[in-house]
Amino acid sequence: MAQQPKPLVLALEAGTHWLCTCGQSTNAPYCDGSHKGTAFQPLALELDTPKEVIITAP
Amino acid sequence: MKLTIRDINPQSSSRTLRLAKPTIDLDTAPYAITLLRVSLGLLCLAHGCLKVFTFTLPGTAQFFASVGLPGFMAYPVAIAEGLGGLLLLAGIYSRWVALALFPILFVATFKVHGASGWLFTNEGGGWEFPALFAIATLVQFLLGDGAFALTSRLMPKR
Repeated sequence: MAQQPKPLVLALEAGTHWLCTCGQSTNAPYCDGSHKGTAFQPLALELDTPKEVIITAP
Repeated sequence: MKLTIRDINPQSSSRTLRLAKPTIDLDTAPYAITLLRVSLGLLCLAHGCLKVFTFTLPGTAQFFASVGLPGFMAYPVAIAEGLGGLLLLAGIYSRWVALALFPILFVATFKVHGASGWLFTNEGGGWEFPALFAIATLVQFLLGDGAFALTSRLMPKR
């Protein structure tokens, strides 16, 4: 049985974080501009205060 | 993709996350830990070999008795030093190996070198060196494996 990928727990500072949605980023989970040429756009996550962000797939 | 955004709970998050500024440089710290681990490993291995090959085990037992330690302890101590040294060099459970070596050095500091005074160049060797050695094992216990350790190879984290 394939294993579910572990949820990614990030401690992020206040500010804007660009998260990769295209899956091409070599700097996952952050956007590195690799989506150029795909239909995807990065997700902008704006935080006022430092937060814990958990990314779960799918 | 699902995002869950939570307040950072200062009680539940690890100490590293709670600190406003990190207290260690994560780029270089693993190599510092490895340097300490390899140094401790070589020293322990050398002392274990010294007891077995140079002094011989009965000789070491005699020496133990001469400083007021039970002579039979020479055997487990020599084994622990040799094996502990190898495990530290390989980086296998360094944390617990280092903790296991601490009592040996603690006893060496007080029982073997305590009477020789503080300075390590004193007749018989003062206790400053074994004391530093003992503290270094505690430091290794707190630090863990560092870089190039085999623990992670043997026990892959899933």
